Amino acid sequence: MKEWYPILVLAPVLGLTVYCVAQLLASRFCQWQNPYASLTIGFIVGLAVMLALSIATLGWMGTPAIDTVSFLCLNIASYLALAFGYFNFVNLTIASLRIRILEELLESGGSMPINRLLLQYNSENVITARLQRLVSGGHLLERSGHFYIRQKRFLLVARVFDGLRWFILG
Amino acid sequence: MRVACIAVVLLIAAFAIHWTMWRIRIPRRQTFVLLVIFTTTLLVGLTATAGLSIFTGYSLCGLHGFWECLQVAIFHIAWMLAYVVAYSALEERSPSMAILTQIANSKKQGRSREELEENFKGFCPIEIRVNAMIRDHMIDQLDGDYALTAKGRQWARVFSTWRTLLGFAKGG
Repeated sequence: MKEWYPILVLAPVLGLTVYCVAQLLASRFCQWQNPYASLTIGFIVGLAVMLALSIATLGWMGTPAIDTVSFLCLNIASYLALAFGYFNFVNLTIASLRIRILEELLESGGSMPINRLLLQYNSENVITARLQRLVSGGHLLERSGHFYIRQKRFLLVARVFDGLRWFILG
Repeated sequence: MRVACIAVVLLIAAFAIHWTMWRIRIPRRQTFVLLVIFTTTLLVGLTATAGLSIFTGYSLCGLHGFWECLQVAIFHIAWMLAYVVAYSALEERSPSMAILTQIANSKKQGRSREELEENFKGFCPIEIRVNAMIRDHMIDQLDGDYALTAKGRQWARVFSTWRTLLGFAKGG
């Protein structure tokens, strides 16, 4: 029965591989406006593969119930952390200013005058781009020249990060 | 149960070391130090738990064989990377999160574009990020120009290639 154990150990990594491939295919062939749709599809497919592999191998190994639950929890936790890492990697290409700067520098032959870069990304331009993204993503509502909270999901994430910042950085 | 407990204990130990160190003094290269703390804890933990089972034959606190060590390592490395990614958002608050918080704090009044711009006056998001990338040796400042270093060029290529593969427009 031990011969199945390596498959159980590698299930989260295999799940992540499936997540990446499924997201890539969904993004290339489904042409969604929202880039997060392909990430959601990929995550679900990867999770399903990881769970199927884990449950099947645990069944073949005939592990006691308590070990089955703990191995399953361990694999789910590992997959969630790996998936979070991949989500953020892709999200960096969508939302990160740092990556945008790196790409701009790369496209301009490796260097760019400081003033041009600062002018291109002043606070006004950054706020305009972010407001546009938050409105189109359904997080904000624009009415009579004022912005209001529409969906609280991203706000909740912001609050959690504020709490973590306080806990870790003081 | 044993493998899961060891994995969780090692992760909590690494986090506790990081939290205590940060309470004493926050290091200059925070991400690098985080990676060192988590990796060292994993290596020490694996050596100790695997050694325990080798020398005592079988132990409830020990790991037996390569695959058990690998399972703990996958869990630990996955959480280490996830934490490092999340930590970058703690270091610098993203403009989107700052905008959302300001609008939420205004309750039902909402915020106009002018009010938001007023609150961000003097805040140069690009400058903060450029300084962080100079510190991390991703870019150099040369005679009034910003220039990519070899490391920065590699990262730019990785992200640019993946973005092109996905068919996404440039972000930022």
